[in-house]
Amino acid sequence: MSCDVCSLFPPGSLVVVKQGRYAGSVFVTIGIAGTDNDARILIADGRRIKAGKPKKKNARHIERTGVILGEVTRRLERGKALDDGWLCEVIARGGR
Amino acid sequence: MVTLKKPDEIEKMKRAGAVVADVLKLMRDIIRPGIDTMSLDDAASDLISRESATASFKGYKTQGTRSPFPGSICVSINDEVVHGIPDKYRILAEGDIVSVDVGAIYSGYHGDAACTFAVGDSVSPMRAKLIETTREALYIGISHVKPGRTLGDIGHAIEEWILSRGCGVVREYAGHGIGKKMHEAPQVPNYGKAGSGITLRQGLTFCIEPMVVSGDEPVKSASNGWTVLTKDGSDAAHFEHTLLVTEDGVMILTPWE
Repeated sequence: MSCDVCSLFPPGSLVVVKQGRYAGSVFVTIGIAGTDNDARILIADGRRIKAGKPKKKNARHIERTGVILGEVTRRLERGKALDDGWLCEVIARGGR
Repeated sequence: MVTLKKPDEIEKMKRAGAVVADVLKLMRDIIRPGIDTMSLDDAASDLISRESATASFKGYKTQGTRSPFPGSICVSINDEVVHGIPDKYRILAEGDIVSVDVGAIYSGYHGDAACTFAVGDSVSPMRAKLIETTREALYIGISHVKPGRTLGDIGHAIEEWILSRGCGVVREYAGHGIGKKMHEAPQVPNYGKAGSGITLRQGLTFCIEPMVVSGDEPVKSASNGWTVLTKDGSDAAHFEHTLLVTEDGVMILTPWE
């Protein structure tokens, strides 16, 4: 049974947008929206796209960088809100 | 996290894979015009039970799906790409193509494989070509499996082959790692850049499963929440094997051919 590529992008994944107005920019995934097989990846960077109003992206239109921001993953797992300034900083550090 | 399997785990996966292979061989024997897809599910379920295994798919639930998968196998006809639900009112007709996806758990370890069959003897040349292209894509992918190669090498080779044959690649769904869970890391897309992605190591077990369409690539989901169909109504085919990366190459754990 094939897996949905949305699962390629666990929360906290650093991704590059391939299509749309933010093409070439780096964001972090913060969840999955939608139901059934029409799920979309939620992305934010705390600056252009706030964590409180993430953008829904088709999984085909973003690309993995291979970096998982553990700090973001842990916050999301605990159900804590993401502060936009903090998110900017974490993305800038690239998980280092 | 990617897990490498130990010898005792590999033995269990071989047993699970053998069950899956037996079910696909049975499907090859009983698929004919006039049979309903629930009968295929019943036959598969019986065989899996007789071999002291459990169907992986029955009751399986993924993130975003409303209800657990109701069947023991997935049966997808013509424009259905994957995850078709067995139904006593779905009758196979002469000239159809039907994809059967089977998963089994043995001693806590999974095996997973799929094959697209022609129903009857009068499948159109277009459909026959689609089946052959998809089967070849699977084996081209497998030919790249050995320690040191990357998942990107596999995806790139599969994508290049499918596009060269004038078909489309389904990109929303992918192959996957497999072991104690049916879907483990890593994901194995049927596209990619050569040299990218994780490097294969001995003991890694995963599934390659090209899903190929004869028309445009976009797919949609049916109202049942599971079945994936082509958006333009074109045909789709699906082949899959569970694989083990060995010291110097690959072992197919679901030898249904």
